[in-house]
Amino acid sequence: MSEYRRKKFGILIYRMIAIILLAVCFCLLKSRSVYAAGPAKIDFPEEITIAYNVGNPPFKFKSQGSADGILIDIWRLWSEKTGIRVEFKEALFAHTLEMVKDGRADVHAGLFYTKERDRIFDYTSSIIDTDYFIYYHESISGIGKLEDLFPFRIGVPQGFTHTFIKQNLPNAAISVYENLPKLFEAAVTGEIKVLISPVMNHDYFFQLKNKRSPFRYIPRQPVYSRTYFGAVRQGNSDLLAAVNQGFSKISFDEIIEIQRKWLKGNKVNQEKQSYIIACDSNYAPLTMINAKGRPAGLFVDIWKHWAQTQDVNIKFIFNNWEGSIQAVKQGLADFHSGFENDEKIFVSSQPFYELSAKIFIPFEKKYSRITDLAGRTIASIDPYYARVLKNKNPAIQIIIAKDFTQIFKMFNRGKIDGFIDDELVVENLLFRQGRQGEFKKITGFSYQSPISAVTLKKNIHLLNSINQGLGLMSDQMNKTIETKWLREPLNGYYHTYKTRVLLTKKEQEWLNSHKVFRLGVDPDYHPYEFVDEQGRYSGAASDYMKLIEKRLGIELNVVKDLTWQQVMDLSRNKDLDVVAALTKTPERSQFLNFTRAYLGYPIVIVTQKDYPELNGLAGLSGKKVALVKDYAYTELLLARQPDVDRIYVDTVYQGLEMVASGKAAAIAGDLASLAYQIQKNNLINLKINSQTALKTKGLAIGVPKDNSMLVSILDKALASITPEEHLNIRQKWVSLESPGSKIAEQGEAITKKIKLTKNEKEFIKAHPVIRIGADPKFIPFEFINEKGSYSGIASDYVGLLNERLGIDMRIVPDLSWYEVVEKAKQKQIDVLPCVGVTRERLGFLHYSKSYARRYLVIITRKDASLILTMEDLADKRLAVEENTFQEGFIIDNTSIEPIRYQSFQKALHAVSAGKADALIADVSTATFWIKKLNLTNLKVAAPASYEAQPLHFAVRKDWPELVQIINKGLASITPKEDNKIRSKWILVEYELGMNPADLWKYIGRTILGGLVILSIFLLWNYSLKKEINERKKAEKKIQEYARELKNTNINLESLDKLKSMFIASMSHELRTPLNSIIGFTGVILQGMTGELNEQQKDQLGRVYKSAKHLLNLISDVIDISKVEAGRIDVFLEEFNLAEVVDEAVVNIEPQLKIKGLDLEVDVKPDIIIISDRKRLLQCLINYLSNAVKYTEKGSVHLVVKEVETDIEIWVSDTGIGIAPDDIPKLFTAFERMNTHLKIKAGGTGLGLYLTRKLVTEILNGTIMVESQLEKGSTFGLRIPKKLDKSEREK
Amino acid sequence: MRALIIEDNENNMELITFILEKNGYKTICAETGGKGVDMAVQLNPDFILLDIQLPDISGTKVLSILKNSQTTNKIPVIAVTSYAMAGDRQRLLKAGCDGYIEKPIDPMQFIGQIKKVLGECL
Repeated sequence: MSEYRRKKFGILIYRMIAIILLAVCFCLLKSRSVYAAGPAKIDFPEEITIAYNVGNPPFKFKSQGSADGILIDIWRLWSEKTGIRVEFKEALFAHTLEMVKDGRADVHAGLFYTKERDRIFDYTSSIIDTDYFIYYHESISGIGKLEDLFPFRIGVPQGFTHTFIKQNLPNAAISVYENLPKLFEAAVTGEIKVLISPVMNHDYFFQLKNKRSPFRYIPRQPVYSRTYFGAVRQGNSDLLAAVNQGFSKISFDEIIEIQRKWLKGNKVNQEKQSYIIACDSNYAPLTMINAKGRPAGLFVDIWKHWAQTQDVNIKFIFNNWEGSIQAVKQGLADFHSGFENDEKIFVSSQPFYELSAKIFIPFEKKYSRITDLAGRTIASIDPYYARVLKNKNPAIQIIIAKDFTQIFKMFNRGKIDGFIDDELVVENLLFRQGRQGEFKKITGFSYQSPISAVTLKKNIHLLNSINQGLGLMSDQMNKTIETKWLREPLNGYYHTYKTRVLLTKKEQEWLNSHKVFRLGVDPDYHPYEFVDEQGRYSGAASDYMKLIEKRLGIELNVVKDLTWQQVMDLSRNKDLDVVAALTKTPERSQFLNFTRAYLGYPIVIVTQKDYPELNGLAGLSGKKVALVKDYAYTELLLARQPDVDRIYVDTVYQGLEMVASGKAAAIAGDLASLAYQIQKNNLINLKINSQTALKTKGLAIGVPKDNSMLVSILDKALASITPEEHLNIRQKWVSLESPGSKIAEQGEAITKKIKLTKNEKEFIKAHPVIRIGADPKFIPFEFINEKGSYSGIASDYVGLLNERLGIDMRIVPDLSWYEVVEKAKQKQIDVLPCVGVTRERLGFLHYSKSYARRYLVIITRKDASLILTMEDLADKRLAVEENTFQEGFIIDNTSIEPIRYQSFQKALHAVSAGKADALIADVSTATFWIKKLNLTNLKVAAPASYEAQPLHFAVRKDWPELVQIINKGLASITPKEDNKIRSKWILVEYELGMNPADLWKYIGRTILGGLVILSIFLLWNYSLKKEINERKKAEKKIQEYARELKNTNINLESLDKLKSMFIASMSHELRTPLNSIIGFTGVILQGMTGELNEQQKDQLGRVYKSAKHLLNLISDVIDISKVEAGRIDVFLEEFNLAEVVDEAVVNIEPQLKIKGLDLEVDVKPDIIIISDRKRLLQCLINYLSNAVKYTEKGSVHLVVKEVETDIEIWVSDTGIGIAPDDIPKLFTAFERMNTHLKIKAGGTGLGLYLTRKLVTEILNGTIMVESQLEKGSTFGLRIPKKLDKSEREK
Repeated sequence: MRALIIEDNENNMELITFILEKNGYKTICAETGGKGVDMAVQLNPDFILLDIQLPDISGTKVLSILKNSQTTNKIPVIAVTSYAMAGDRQRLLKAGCDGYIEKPIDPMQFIGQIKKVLGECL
């Protein structure tokens, strides 16, 4: 962020304060000297009369009967300080002078210094400064300097401004107004378009009128700056001394406070707290004054929303960069809109944005790295960046520049090789100036700065409100703002910050010099961290370390071959920098600092499978329980439940063994380790019986003491890890079964009341029975069990909804899935309780919220070739069950035409028997049936989609009420109940007769390495409820985005269609009327309708030519847009080249004759080629007509050569030729060479552009050109004799 | 020589008939494809000038009717069309069209173009 920036300018108020300060000091001195010199003490009056002029608000003016204004407020304060009463007398300006002169008033409230007045008055010390600016009407552009006003009538208030403009623009038209309000009134009526005024007066006038001002000013350039002085009659030195002494008692802050009051417009709105925020006026897209004269920009929007969260008013004041910071320093503004603060007098809010500085160099430079800048000169506006750069590479020469204008000037003079500034701002600037192509960035250099609101230390209380408000602003809101202002919002801070680590400057600096760290890890702490057989560091903690490395740009190098004990010893001696994963203990805290815990699991109890449910720790009472020695949680557990029969073991595995063999009833331990060991050792007779309220403390990163910087950095990096990332890591490393238990807690559930509307209640009444249709074999989601009853996850939801909503959803029995869907289409079935959304189904069904999700996989034979994604199925025979979601999924997502089977089982058999190559199916259903049908040659090959496919209740289209009712019912189901339902159906032995443990083993085996699917499949991990919810939200968002994207795509597609339709109809609709114009003028010109005189002939000839020209133009435009849209169809024909050449020649013959040029054609009569005849003809005509057009005498020569499998056609002329510099421009659109022939020659400017496109994109050839100025040009094209369509597409 | 002109645009019709009549041809006009087919069958013109974009049945369809009917398949048909999308020429010639004149017609060349096609048909 640039600290001191740009351009001299100012809403003067800031600068004047400095002057006031000086003035105050001056007064102090002066009054002291008065004391010293004066023989007696000054005779202070008790009361003075102050004359002020009306009509100069807000400096001096009358409000509701009493004097008011900034100057008046200052005089009132003066009165308070001196104890001298003041009486204000109002008069027109000229009268006020008279009044002071003739003694009717003692003091003038405030006037500017002039020589004439100095003869009459003695001036007091300065009171306040004001800047006058050019204001111009928004309809005018290009106003920058006073001189630009010359063409306009300039509105000025009488007095100094009038004189000033007369002197500086002697011959300009000036309208003089009695005072500023009158001037503005005239401006509003449109009487004048430009005027001169101070900002505050202008703003105040329009604020009072409650109108938007149509006038703009140029903040950088005040026309002039003037100071208000008080004045007394000449020679009244006692009074003068008294006045000045009074002023000396007024502090700088008091003056500022009065100004702030008027700036905020407190008089207008007093009920809310208001703040003044200082901004750089020329800092787009962050802060700026927009074309409408209003504050605008990303930061401005941020603060506007911030103000809403705090219910305060805000006012933005603008200045140049330095001035805006100055405003905060002086206290005129409450805080700055944002920069990276490194000044001690300021305090900063939490960072709310991040900017990165880049070095920009001219695009054509050959070098691009920072090391290449050694000895070169780089400009920086910001001294801060200058220092940064100097540190980075001391060999760089650095110049401080005032502003970008100066930088670009220095470029022009070759004084600098590049400049450094905020990337966002520079790119915006270059873009606005249309010179984004002129510069490139030094690669590998980027300086990140966190941006905060900045205020004075004394305003530190303000930071609470700022931070609180910033904290309240939603991500969504921030992103919306960013989207509004950035050209590439997706790369913007708010769109990416979640994965960024916001470091303080100190931390960043420290990190810049510390990049490599020695990491200590436990080689055998499954699944948290371990070193695998190949010696690689692995496990959940390793994934966290990888994330941290990436986030911070550091290297964490595992120190190899250490035991855990060695890791501890080394870290005690500070021979390690970081310990990856360990629990914080008092003992360890003696030599380690800890980050937050990042990886923790609940303590669960594992028993044999048939062991009754224990219901938590209490269930262990009196039981033989295996406990791992020295584990932190062992103590914790014993403290809670002292009456267990303890059996101490050394490792988790040992404990599990004891339980499996019946030596212990249970083992308590952390979920991750237990689940890992159970899986690894295939202890299939064990289950996780119950959870406990205990949780491990969680693993944290340890850093040897005295390196607190690293701890806080690592902590921040951990904080930046999103819930999704946490979840992914956990799921990757911990796969577990959740305790099987009943849905239970019905009591709790029933108490949940669902509020139904009257309509909904009536609907339920009117439909006592709702017919549902289920897939009989969609295990485990829904199926018909052996006893013929409806089972599965969906069945439990149906049960819950029936109970809670008082409805009766009843299964229609004995239907296949195919029949169910058909009946649903005919409204013979009302609800499908467990279906995914497909486009086809949306036609006849309404969907509820989704309540479950499933994962689609690709099933193939084991011997099938490698299939990794859906794309690999493109040329395969893909089987699918008819009328299912999977079918819709294939149709919606691929272009494959699947082979449909009436049942899933048939489809599986088909793949197994080799009648089809692959099958898309739900993972759990598929694995179940593969096992059940004993189709051992099948495997789960790959996920069909990494996204979960949601399942919904679907209701017949004409019953929207029921969707609402079901949604309400679903909303009443708690996450706990959700989990229970899932775990019940995943873990029970299916009535159809399969052992879930076998299922698990099978899945484990089939999805070799497919841990992703497996872990997703294990979503129902109750311990991760929270994360799951967050993930659901995230997924929902992703789906929303996907939907949006899809919609956008559909829109784009239809736009594309529209475009080609437009092109097609253009070609007809535009040509038809031209047809008539050309035809009839042609007829008349030919004399068919009678003899024409010469003038008629000439004029009609012009009509004819223009129409022809228009026709060519249209044809070219249409052709180009077709080529560009890829809509041009290529028609291959076999034809004789000589014929096409002849046809082209016929086309240009008339012009040839008119100019009297010779034409030589050199083509063999028997060249047969296969190409697009029409397009080739077009190209030849273009070349030939160009040749004729630009040749005045001599000849045009066309030669055809056969070169291998290609032909070359050359058209040369003896015309004006083309300058070498112009040759590259030749084939671009609308470029015609700068020549006197330009107008005379006519042409659309599109001919060669189109020719190039046709030759290179349609005819698969190349174009060539050679030319010599004044001697002639040769244009050539080379195309294959046999154009191959498929080759062309490459 | 009698020409049947099948053309829906009044201006074009006027232009074409004007040029033909000035050059000594007789003309019959049909402003829809349906009428055109009827007239071709009933009046047996010497040649037909056929617009392709017609309001009722398309020119391509008219062409195929004419070329598939015993009574009309000998009559030369010249497509006169601004339907100048790539490949039309080929498509129309393939469909049995005897000639192809692209709009806008050039009054100076129009008769020559017609004569050329008719000459080839003889």
